[in-house]
Amino acid sequence: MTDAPALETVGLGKRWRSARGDVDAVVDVTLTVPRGAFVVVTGPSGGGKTTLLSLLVALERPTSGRVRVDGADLAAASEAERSRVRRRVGFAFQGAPQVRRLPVWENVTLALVPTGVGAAARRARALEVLGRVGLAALVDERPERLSGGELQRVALARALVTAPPVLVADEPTSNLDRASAAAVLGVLREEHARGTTVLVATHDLALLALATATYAMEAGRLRATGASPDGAAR
Amino acid sequence: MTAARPAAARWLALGRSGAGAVLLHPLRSVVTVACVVAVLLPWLAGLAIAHGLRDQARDAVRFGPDLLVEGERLGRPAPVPLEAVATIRALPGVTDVVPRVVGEIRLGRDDVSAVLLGVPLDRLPAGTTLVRGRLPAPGASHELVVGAALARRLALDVGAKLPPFYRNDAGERVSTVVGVFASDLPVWSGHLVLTSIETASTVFAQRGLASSLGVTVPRAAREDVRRAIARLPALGPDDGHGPVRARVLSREDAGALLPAQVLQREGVFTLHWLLAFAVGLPLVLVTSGAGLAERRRETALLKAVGWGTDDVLLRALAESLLLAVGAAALAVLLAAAWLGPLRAAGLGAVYLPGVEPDAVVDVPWRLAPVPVLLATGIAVVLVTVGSLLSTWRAASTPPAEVLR
Repeated sequence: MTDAPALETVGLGKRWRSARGDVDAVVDVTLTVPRGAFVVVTGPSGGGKTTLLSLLVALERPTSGRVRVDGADLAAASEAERSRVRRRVGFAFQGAPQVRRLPVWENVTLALVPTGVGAAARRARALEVLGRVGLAALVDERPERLSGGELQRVALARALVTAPPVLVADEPTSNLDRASAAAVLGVLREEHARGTTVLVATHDLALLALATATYAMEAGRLRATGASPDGAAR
Repeated sequence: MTAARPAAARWLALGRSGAGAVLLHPLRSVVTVACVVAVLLPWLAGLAIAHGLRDQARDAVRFGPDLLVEGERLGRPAPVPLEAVATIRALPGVTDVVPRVVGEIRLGRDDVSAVLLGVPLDRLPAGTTLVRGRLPAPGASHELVVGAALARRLALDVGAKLPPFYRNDAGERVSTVVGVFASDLPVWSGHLVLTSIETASTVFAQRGLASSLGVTVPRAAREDVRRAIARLPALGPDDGHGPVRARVLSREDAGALLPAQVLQREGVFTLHWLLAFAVGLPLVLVTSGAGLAERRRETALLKAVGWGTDDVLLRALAESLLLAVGAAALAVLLAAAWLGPLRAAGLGAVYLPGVEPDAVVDVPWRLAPVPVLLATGIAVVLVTVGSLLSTWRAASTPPAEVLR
């Protein structure tokens, strides 16, 4: 482990090209997320939160600026290095995409396949993380038979399956009823308590209570809105 | 060792995942296998027939006469006077000489082409098994034994009368079918009509003549006898048109000629197949993209959770190999079924001129290991090229772009 921050961006920018012209989804974002922090990013829909998270977990390449994960510079990284970074960062997607015909346990443990973990061990691990999000009973179910809220929790379980040092979640409590949202909050709290660095983009104000630092994102720009003991946004 | 074990485990896990992917995309799998089978099946079946014919031709040569003597007058083919039988039989080393008269006849309202073979009655081809009736009686004229395929085609049975099917100066006569033989002879004898050499000589107006002579001679004396026959000044008395000289074909010469004809047909068939392959390749490329949107999304998800491009490609390779080997195996099984129980229905007539689509001849075939292995290799190339290309393109797209 290095002393580098878990996540760090410098002058980060992402521009989308579309028929209606260029759109700056992320503009000059400089952010430092120290290890063990719980960072919450809020803001209106279309403000650039999801794009920022995609850049942080190496799903997109920035148009400008730099991203560092555990000290590794993603801008200069090869595709193989970016894949390695994605293995170290658990990401719960908004919309919770799944492989339709695979049972829940296989969807949850997809990240473990290239590491050579056998099917029995993967299923056992899936049961463990699904239990944490309250879905152990659905381990053999097909995703198409799950509700939106259940899929959202499956996505969180998938993000947790490799026990990553950094957990990034995009709207983890959207589509959830109060009880399920509380379960997800509990899991995030537990992860943070274990020392996992957590970064969440959300509209759910309940998550603010867990945050060590809060930010607001609007029109692609990020600004600090709450306590930031170790990190700062400019 | 410790590094090798995780690598092997990774390969195994990715291989299993690829095998599972065959069932994840059933439509794509079925369409891909169907396309590969459609390309391979006719080619495999055609080559199997070519190999079967080649085997049969070799057998025919192996069990045929040691030397075949034909006549030649002024550089042109000519019938052999029957006096040559005694002349050649008298040569040192010669064990036996069998004259035969062969020619094409046309029978029935549809002018069905058949081959009339006249030989001494005690020298009918080995393997002639009568299914009904009898062989032509000694001394009887115009008694015929027809092959089962021809009998079925012309609705002939024992006792049937055939109106004159030839014309010559000695007049024409009605012929009688006295027997039907099984068609388990070589395929080209499916339309064979057997008769006495005297009747055949009458039909072709070649009294006292034969089309060729089969000479049996021990291997050690073969070359000497061949030279002795070739040196004969004439095969019979001069009829005023010039002497008939001998043209001698050895078993080896015939062996070299017969397979060459079969190989030529095999080459033509392979050429046709290459054209099919040229069509099949883009077809498989297209079908391997079946359900592409879903596959792109799946690939993006795998990438997003940490799979490398090499992991994704290895999984696709395992899936493709399984599909390709499955398709090749299915093509081989279907080819065997087509050629065996289904008797090459529709294909035998295409491959063997003169064999009717409904012929009951057993088309000879042999699925040789080389075409089977080649078919498997081709299937692997077809499927993996299509699959890996589309997978690589999907894996190269930023995952967020696809999952958005």
